[in-house]
Amino acid sequence: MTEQVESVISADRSAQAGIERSASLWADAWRDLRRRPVAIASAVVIVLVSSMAAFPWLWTRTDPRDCPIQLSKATPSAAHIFGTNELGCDYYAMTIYGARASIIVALVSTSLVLLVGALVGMAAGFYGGWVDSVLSRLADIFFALPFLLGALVFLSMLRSHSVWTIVLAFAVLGWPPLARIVRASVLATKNMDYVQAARSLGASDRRLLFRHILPNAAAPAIVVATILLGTYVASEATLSYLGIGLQPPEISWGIMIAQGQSYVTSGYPHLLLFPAAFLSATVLAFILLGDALRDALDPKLR
Amino acid sequence: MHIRGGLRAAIGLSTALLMLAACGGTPQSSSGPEGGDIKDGGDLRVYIGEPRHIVASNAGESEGSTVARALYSGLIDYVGDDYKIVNVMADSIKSTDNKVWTIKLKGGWAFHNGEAVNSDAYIRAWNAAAYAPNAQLGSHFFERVDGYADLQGKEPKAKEMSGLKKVDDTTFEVTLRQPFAGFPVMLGYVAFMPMAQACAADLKACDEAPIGNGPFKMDGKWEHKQQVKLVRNNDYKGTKAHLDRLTFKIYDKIETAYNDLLAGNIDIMPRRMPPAKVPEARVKFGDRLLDKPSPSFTAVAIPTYLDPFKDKRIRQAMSMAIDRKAIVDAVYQGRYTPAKSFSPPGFPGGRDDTCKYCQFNPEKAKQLLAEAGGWPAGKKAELWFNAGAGHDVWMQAVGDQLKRNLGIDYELKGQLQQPEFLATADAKKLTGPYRSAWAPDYPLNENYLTPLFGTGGSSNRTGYSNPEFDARIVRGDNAKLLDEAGKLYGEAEDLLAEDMPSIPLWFDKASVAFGETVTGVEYNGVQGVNFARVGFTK
Repeated sequence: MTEQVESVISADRSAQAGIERSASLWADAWRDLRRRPVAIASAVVIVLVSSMAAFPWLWTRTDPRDCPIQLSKATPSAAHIFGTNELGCDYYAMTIYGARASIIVALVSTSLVLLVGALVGMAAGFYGGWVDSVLSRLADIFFALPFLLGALVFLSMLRSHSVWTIVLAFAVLGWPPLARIVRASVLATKNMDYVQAARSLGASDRRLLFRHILPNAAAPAIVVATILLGTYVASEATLSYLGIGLQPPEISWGIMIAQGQSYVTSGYPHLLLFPAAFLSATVLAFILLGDALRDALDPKLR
Repeated sequence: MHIRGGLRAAIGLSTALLMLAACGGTPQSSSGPEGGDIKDGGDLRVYIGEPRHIVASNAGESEGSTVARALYSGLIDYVGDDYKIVNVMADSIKSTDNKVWTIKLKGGWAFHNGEAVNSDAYIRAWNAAAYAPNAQLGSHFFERVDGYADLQGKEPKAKEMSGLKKVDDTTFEVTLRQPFAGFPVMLGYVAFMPMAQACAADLKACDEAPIGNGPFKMDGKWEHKQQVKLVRNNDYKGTKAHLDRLTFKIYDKIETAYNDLLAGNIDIMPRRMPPAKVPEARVKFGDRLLDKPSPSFTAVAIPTYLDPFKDKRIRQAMSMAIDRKAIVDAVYQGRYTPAKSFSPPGFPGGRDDTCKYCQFNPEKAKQLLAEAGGWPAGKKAELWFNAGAGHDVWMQAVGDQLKRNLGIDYELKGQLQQPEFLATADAKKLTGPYRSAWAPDYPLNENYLTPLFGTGGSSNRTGYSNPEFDARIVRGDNAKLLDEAGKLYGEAEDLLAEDMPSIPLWFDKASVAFGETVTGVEYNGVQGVNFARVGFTK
């Protein structure tokens, strides 16, 4: 970001917070986040869950797909610390491997949504006129589709369900809020003096957009994206629970919850509690981190 | 028959059976004392899945025949745990040579629209069912009748089978192509129910609101995916029903139905419930849960027309790699009986222990697989079953066993609802082993063999064809006495045990659960619950 913006913000911030000297918005935010225990705890949870997704063998040597059915529904013990499910699969290994589907869906969907949302938002905000009208109405149309219902309809039209079809569904339905946020930021920024100055110096549209305008729009978009990560983890589990997301024998927390819930009242509550706890912790971590990021990045909220 | 949810059918096809009946059954495990405590009146709400069809000639599947059994009364009923044959509309069924059968009817019966149920009503029904352009699921039951072939094909030569002859209003004669000692045993199946003239005139319309002759009649039309409403037939000639109304509530998911039963939104689940809920239901329902051995049979059938399943050693290996007992213990709390044969022991003609590859023996299984050249590297076995009926868990257990004991990885294909699933199987478009469940249409072991494994059999979706098997079936058909026929059919079954076109898994139990005020519930393995006997307590 440019010098001008930094000075505007640091002026704003020092007016409120008093003394501290600040380097940039991001350095400021980083300093702020480090002081928030909630943010740190959330980040730790996210790192742990991500490591389960990327390197499950760091966490368990048991193959969650090798299921001696004779061990059906064992309660937690030293050999199976989370017990086993009705098919005799080790529940701890399943819970660890279940992170992968959630994290992949969340990360890839969010990246796609960010990409599409940012491009559409920038185009609409920067060019205005009919481009804005067309893109904004298009966003309105997609925005009007209820997210979960839309995903259900979309996925039930497809015969095979994998992580990628879910990602596709989320990306198709998820971009409008981001496009709106980016568009609003672009509108707010594009007439600022420093942008006008760059323009009068002969900067191309592309340079204006990517060097001068986008960096200012990035902060709110990243905040929303972080919260979206949590939402997508939850949505993947919801769809898998409903039987329309991932299909067994793939492993995901949603499937584990769906299969485990019927045994809760028959004396095996661990079959529901373990995947549900991991799912809730992950979703909560993303959402709390998103909140913390927003507070840190938006000085006006302080 | 196919049972939908649970069982059977999966494949299978066509036939049908189970039911509920309208007609008779005798008390076997009645929950209430005889009649005395039952009040007349009330509306019984019953769980079923969406039927394919409900008109009797086309109700060849468990849900449809459940409704049809309440709407129709046939010539005979199967009664008791030994399925004794008891006349309902028949006065007598006789033959001297097992080829020409003379059927006498009791007089005075009428359809719900007032038409008389006479010889013509039966002849009309059987011709309409057999006539290929009508595409009725019950058609193949008439294969044995003389002249059946003339009604087949796109443009059949005839509309009536030459083997059906009216003698007088209450007597008709059936001539079979070949002698068949088991013919009278078949006659209690829904395809043999009579048909009113008004129904024959427009079969399609009749499927929406069948005109039967049973203890209940339609109230309005079949509301698809919602319900089928029936009311008592006050002019019924047999034992009249206690209930004023019988409403079949149609559910997509059996779990939802179970919750509705708990909540009192339905009164009875007449045949099955979600397996995981049975222990809980035992506590909650006590003696209002009947857990009865059932001749319904679950297997994993194999598309023998597909590589790599063409090699019988692969099929034998898969069968030996599955620990049936462990799956039954884990998924069904040990309630079901692991199958060691292709027809149920205790059933007329059925034997125990005919299937040597049904033993769990992972070592031998690995060896057979190796002899057959192993499983194609990187290929996943696709395991098919119908959606929404609770089959995913046991099918996953079967897949886990294949993976663990043979190293065959698998994928589950369980998105199709029953009708679509059966249609896909009929078109031979399933890409791997599939759930095959069979509930008997009539009590004879032949019913487990010819339709499923005979060349061109009505429910033969595996593509299995063995001339020696067909020949042994014919030998059984020609037997003079029923017992002898059962034994000869058993010799045909021995060939299946070697060829393994299907992997027998277990014989089910029927779980019938009902609400506190419901009484008079009896379950019969062939006919299901007899709703004419069910009522509410006083």
